[in-house]
Amino acid sequence: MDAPKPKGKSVTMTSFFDANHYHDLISGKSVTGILHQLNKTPIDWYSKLQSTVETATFGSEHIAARTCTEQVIDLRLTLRYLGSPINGPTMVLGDNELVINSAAIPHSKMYKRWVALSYHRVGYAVAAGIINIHHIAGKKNLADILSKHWDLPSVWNMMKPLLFWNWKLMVPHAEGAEEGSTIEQKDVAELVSKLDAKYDVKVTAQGKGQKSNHSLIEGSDKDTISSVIQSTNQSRVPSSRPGTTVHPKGKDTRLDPEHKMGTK
Amino acid sequence: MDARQRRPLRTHCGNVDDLMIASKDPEAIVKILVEKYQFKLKGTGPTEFHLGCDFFSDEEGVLCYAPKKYIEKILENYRRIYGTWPKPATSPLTTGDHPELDTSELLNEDDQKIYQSLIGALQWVIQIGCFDIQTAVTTLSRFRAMPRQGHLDRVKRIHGYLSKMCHATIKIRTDAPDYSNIPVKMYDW
Repeated sequence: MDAPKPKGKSVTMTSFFDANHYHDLISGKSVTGILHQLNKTPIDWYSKLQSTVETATFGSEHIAARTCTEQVIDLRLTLRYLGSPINGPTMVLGDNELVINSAAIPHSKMYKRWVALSYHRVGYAVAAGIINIHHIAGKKNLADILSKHWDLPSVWNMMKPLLFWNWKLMVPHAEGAEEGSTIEQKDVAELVSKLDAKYDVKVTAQGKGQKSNHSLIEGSDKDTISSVIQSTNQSRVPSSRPGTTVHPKGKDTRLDPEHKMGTK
Repeated sequence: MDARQRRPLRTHCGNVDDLMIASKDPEAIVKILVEKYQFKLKGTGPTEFHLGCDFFSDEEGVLCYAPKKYIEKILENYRRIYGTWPKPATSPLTTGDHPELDTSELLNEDDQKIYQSLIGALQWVIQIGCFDIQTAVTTLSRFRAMPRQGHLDRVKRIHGYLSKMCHATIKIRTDAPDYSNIPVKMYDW
């Protein structure tokens, strides 16, 4: 292996995925939206019509999860070759509970071959410690911006800290360089303040250095990311695999109705 | 190291327009480029503008990048084509819009070319930071080969959105998100 030895500050990776089912009414195809972050910086984004038709949201979300997983593996390899250490598995966040649940359970049943393969691809990455998949509220899922045609109020909470945090900083610039451009600063400023008031967004560039808020990350400290995996797997004893003689102390979790989520 | 790697590396660069160096000591790399490899550099310094993207430090001294000049350029280009500035909009496309259902008349060859070049410019804006318009632009990209008037109107709307929300800036936030309360579960299956 000729990869350099990882050195320096390590990064935490976060990826969001989402799918918009039946985006295209003529072909019936869905759209995948994915956003990758290194620490709190968005570094890659993806929004593309899926190449196959899915008959259920569950299917298209699974395809999105798979695409996301593959991109994460790619990105991790790139970072590896750049010699940048990575903090643990990549945090992969999606807003579809069924997908998140089934991806972390080894015996979910899939009735469609291609969905099953997507499921295995994600499940493999979870098992291999490449990703750590968790559920996040739809309103906090940044990939929403990349999967559907939104209107500003519905995504403003997420978009402001990502792209428009600099509102006050940029205005003097814009006025200086204006010269006949139609950019209606007042109009936009009004809109922004209205949205902020309505949705109670707090993004003020405060403190020194890197201390600015990040609504998602801030929220994540307070149970925004529910650990669905944890709750469904707590009773699962790893040694309940076939072939091992150790008997699980609890009941066989495969009989647990919760574990049948996603099968139908 | 095997023999293949020990071979001297020869690189022929006819013309390289834009070099960006990320290093603790960029001057050292510049020095090697000039002295050892006889690069003729037209001017070096902190990155301000690279591949259509503006780079600057915000008031906290954190590196940020924004395709501001590029957006100004495409709006200027829009005005050159249509004679007016685009009508400002607050979203790239209306919610639940379905451009694939549009049945307006097909564009003539000239308008088709305009459509394609406008889309091309928008695709570059996405690459250099404005991912807020990505879904809209990729959806409209599908019609490049056979665009209709309605599709062109939608592209105009995206320009209107850009003119209003031209401040999209990505800040290089190097502080790590706190996931300490989220368990890292290891599986052995």
